[in-house]
Amino acid sequence: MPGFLANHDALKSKGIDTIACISVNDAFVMGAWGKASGTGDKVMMLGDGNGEFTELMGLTLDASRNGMGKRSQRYAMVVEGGVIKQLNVEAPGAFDVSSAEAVLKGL
Amino acid sequence: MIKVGDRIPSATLREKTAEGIKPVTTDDLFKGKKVALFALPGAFTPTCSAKHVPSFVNNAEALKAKGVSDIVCVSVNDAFVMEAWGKDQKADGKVRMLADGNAEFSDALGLSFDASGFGMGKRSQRYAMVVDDGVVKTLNVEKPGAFEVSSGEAVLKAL
Repeated sequence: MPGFLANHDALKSKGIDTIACISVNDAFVMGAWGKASGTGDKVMMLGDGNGEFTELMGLTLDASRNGMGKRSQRYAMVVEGGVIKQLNVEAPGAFDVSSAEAVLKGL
Repeated sequence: MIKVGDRIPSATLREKTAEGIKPVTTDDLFKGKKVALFALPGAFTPTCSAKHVPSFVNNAEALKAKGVSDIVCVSVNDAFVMEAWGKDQKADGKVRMLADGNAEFSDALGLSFDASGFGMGKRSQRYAMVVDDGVVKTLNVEKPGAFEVSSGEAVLKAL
């Protein structure tokens, strides 16, 4: 999250219109998290509380062993006019390819 | 659905502590203690934040004076969310915020419901109960959308 906030202007200058963050949490939790993170109007905080979007993407993760039910894998993508231009899915537990810096480099 | 006189079934909740996330079994939670437990549909939701949690935070001392050793809030959220919400609600030291992220506890009690119409997946109904050494002594389950019988005040009155 901090990476996308810090690179907000750089991403916008590369032609990105909207930066959105998705998690399998409800909209109340996403709103509270956005407030706590100071996202303001820089990052849209979207709740995928039923895991519907994540399942359609085929990017669901069973996190019930950690008491978190069904969740989303960590990934970043760039979508243009509804078509995926970049998709970087992390290996379990990793945070390498889905950073704002990585997205920026791929633009 | 569980009822007064029943023993709480075995399930595992989770709690974020200073040392990280710890499993909390119902056996450990209830053994040899009188516990006031309330559950609600979701952290950071309007009724839960504005009314339900405050009603227990504000009555924590009165409940403890009546022999309640632990006041526990349960929601089908993960332990990270429950900790953040507890901080936001100033519940620290008064109400333990326990996560039922897999809905295992709520399912075992027969008190989960389908909130996918609200984009919230499977959640817990709103209720409060007093559990003495693992046995349910009082149980107040709210009607959908209501907040009347499960408040800290209602639990206090029944003690």
